[in-house]
Amino acid sequence: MHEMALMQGLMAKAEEAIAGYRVERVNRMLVRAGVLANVLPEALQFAFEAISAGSVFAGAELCVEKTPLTARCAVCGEQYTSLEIPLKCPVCASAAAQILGGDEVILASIDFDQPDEEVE
Amino acid sequence: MNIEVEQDVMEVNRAYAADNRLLFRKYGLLTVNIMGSPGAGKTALLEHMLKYMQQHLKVAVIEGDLATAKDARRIAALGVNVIQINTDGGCHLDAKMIARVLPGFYLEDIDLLLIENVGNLVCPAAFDLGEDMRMVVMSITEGGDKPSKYPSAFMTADVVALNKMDILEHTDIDLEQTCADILQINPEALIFETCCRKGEVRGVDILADQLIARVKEKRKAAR
Repeated sequence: MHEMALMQGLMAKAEEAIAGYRVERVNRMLVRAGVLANVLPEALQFAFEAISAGSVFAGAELCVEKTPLTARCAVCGEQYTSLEIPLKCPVCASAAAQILGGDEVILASIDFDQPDEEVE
Repeated sequence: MNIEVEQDVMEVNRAYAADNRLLFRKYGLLTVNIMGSPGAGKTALLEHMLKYMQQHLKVAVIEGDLATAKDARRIAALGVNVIQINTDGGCHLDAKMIARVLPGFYLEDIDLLLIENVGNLVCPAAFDLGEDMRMVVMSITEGGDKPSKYPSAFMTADVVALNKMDILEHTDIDLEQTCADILQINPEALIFETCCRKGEVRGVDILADQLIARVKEKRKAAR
């Protein structure tokens, strides 16, 4: 439900990242979202289209990759990653765990074309 | 051309949450982030917990809602210090909103800060506020499948209150199965059965005692 706000944050970072380059058109933006970020890729896509309209990002492909959470088993101490909930420790099979990460929403990379003409 | 950016938009929230947590530790106060669907009974449960806890502790409340100060007025009517945050359509509280209102309290005088999040079982779970504990309030009328449908809220909860137990007989919920589902997602969750209707308040004192015990633990650790 907060994908619009997340997208605004991502776009701010994206614009900052390409600010030093001559950009004709952005082809692709890769976002990695942890399973605990509760991000719906479709909603993010919708927000991206709304916000990017009229900019160099318009029409670009938005790739959203789900990334696993990191947990430490409360029973045996094993640290592991998981895309699935309920958790299951690979060593002792317990679901009890301390969550170490998985809420991140990362702007990973931007692929873009630069203008052909020579810089005078 | 492809450039690597590798920047996390949640980093800002994490930084504010860490600052909040430091502040809470400095003043030795326990904070609880209370989540649940709209209508689960969060505010009613809060009211009854406050009535019970007021004699034992100094409690303050932050109320999160999309709009209005209705909940804050209910809490203030009990003589409890309360600050209302209106998210203006936003679906969750974030750590920055909390940081912004904290100067409104005398933190050194507070033992327990209860934060009632925006009614929503999805988004609030993704935002660390710097709290010590998470509580999910789920009314049994919501249906017993909610823990498995909304696992992230239940997975990160320390305490789950199954509310509106007074109307259990009018629902089709399989309570045993619901508790099993919660414990499958989160074996360490403490589950409480509560109801907060006028003339029929049950389980609230047991839940409140749990929070009081945690306040004492934190105070001991702070010393």
